[in-house]
Amino acid sequence: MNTKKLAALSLLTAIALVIYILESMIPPLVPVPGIKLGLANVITLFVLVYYGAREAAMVLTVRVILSSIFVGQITYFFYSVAGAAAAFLIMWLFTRINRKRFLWFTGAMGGIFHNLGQILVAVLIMGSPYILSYFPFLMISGIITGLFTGTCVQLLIKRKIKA
Amino acid sequence: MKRKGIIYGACLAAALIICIIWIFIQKNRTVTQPVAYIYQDGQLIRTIELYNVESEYSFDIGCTDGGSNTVCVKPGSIGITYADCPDKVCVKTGFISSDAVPVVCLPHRLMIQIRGAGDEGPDSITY
Repeated sequence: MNTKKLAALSLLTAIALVIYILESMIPPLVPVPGIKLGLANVITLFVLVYYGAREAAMVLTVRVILSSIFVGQITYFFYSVAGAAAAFLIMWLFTRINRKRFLWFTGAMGGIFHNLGQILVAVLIMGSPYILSYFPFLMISGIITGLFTGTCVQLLIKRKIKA
Repeated sequence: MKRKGIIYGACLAAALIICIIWIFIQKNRTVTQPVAYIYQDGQLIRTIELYNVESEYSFDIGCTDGGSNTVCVKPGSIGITYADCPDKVCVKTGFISSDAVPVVCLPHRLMIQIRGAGDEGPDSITY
């Protein structure tokens, strides 16, 4: 890894962290636990497409750890890790299949799997499968926010931004 | 290549429609003799027969790491009216009177679920 790449990835991590912190200041929009915009995912997907899986995993790991230090509760750390890991794996799979095409779909899959990972952790932590009755709500929000983040990345890539 | 995009779009649209229909079906569920089960850290800590509740009352549930929630019980429904966590999602969920969705406070690992008096245990719930 050369210095230029290191600097670029650090900057992207910082951007993701700032997006995450700003987003956590927005009060929940709907009375369903776990729903949020997930805008920090734009950076994950961008790095995944622009650099590769290794770089995206690094940026994501640092962002998840730092964000749980900056934004509150330890309980949320496990949700964060599970959601981020699930979203990363599915987006990696779809960028392997489709490369830079259909990023809106890759984003939507990321959104869905992020929520899926989180709800499974919630089932473990709360010790009850009843929480799964929230899954349809989380699925809808995951698709909508994921489409948005995916489209954002598609536009970034299209404009050939030099990172 | 264009066909693939159409298939992807159709999958997402189908998933959205299924979820919306599911939510509407769940919304119309009713429970004849609602009983509230309050879980903390996955343990059942309190059971309230909501169909026997005569008048409204509230009580606090302390969390193992310091937080607390105020639970309010009304005839036939239950909800959380105060929480000292930052997000307040459980308060915004409002009062529930059926088993469609539970009231959940993720930071305090508190959950209130309603089941019918006849239903014994999680296995009797069918989706």
